[in-house]
Amino acid sequence: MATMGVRSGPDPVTDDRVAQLDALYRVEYTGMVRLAYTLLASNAEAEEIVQDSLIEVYRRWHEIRRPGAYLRCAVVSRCRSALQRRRMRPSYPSEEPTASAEASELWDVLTRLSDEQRIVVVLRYYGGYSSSDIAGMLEMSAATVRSHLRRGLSTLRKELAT
Amino acid sequence: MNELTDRLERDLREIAAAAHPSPSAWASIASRLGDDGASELELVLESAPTPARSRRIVWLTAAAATIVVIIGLVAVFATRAGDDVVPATAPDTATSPSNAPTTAVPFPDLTTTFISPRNGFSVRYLDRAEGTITPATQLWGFSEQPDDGFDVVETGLAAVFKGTSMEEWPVARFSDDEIDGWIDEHGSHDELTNRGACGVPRSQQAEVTIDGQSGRISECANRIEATVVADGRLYYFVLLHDRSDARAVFDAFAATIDLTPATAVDIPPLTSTFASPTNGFSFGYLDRGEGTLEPATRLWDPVTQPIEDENGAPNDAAFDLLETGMAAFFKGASTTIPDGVPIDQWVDEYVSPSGCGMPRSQQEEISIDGYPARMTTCLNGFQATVVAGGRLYYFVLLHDRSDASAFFDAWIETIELTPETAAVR
Repeated sequence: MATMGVRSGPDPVTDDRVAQLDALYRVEYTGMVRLAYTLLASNAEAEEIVQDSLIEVYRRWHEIRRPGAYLRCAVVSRCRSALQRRRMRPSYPSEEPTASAEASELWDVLTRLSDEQRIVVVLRYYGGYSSSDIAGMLEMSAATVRSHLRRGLSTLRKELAT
Repeated sequence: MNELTDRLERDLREIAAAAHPSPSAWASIASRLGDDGASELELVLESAPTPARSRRIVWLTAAAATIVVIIGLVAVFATRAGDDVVPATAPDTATSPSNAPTTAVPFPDLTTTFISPRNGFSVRYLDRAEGTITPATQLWGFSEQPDDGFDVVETGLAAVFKGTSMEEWPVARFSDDEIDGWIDEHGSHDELTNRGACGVPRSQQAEVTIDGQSGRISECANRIEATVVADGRLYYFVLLHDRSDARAVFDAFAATIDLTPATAVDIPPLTSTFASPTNGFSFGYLDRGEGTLEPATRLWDPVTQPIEDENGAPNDAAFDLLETGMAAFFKGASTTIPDGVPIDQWVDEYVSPSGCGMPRSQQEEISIDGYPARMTTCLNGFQATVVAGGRLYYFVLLHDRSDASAFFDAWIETIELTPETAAVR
């Protein structure tokens, strides 16, 4: 296990920022990796995204009022970009989580939704976020979120019933 | 809570549980904090295992492969250029490394202005013959032919200048220092568009100014490329060449560029046609493959099938649906108008009860396929209704785009009403 020390001249302000990031990491890391994994089904990519997002939080610590909320937005935003990249690359290897047949079936349908529908469904039913929360994360209106949700659920209902 | 949402919560929890966050992740993060803020705090890691970063390795491999391909293509280009072009102004037409000293060789004055029809810029060029300019015909990255998204200037002097642009929501949100990373990640590894073939991280590239905007430029064999961001729009200019004075040529072009992001067109050509088997109309669209279209599966009776159910979910089964993949979702349906009903009142009552807050009689008058129609603007949406052949047509755009009005207009332009082909009702 790595430990972190100060070689010389510690800056109490920066030191405090690292300590607070450490606290945020302890509270949020596992949950955020699981959220990203639920969108991407790639553990390495999920970890990379959450770690990049924590670094971003660190860099902007003094501009951010709610680091936890900012972190969630950053993770979701990066997942959205990752899905967009995959869509532009038909050759991108498909990812599939290790799960029961039923969960795998759900995953299969989720991957056929649009990126926005998939993200909204996961944030709502895995993350438990409200339409307003999701709207803030995705920088779209709550009405648009509800529209994506309705469309996504409609497809899921139809596909899972067959 | 219904059966579907119960299942969603249960199965998503199961999927999430398959993730296995690294217990040593903090060490990796902390080491990067040290890199990021070395001047503020020197962090000493006694042991810093690196978490799996396999994706970056894949990217790097892809980038290397892309560079090899590009070099090959450039070699082909150079050979072709060398065969049929003898630049009057270049002392050496043999392939030369772009880092050779730039010679102050005069390049013909660029006297004619080309205004890009899609990409939001203009540039001057030497109008030497027909075929000098090939305008972009597609959005950058939306075609298997990379040059479809580029405006291409063939100089005939062993140099081809190309330019393109794209609006990207992350670019609009990012601060300047974040743009470098985004362009490196999204621009340097996209073999579809041959972006970023020089492979130099943007933050390490030299600075260049194009139309007053600070950008970055890099040079590699037979290629000079520059990126600049203006009003949230990423511009990419490339010179493919076989000239020793290539940088001077690039600078000559760059000096004439006007960036006009407000004039860019981010609407793709709607070249495919969908003819509804149910609703008696057709429209144009960009075929993005499976999932683009979802035809109606039943006939529409707005009196018995309101556009939303009691839970607010859309009753879309009677609609032909178009998912553009560009933050815009279209749908359309039609129905027979009952005998003797006043159309505006009937639409207000049954077809679009909300009407986005405006009665049909007060909505904007437009034309759809030559028929007088009404249109209204909603939050994140547009609705249009039109009567043809005794049928009421209802078209909707839901969007999250700043240029949605133009997008809606472009789509409406492609609609043909064929009430005689409607299934029934």
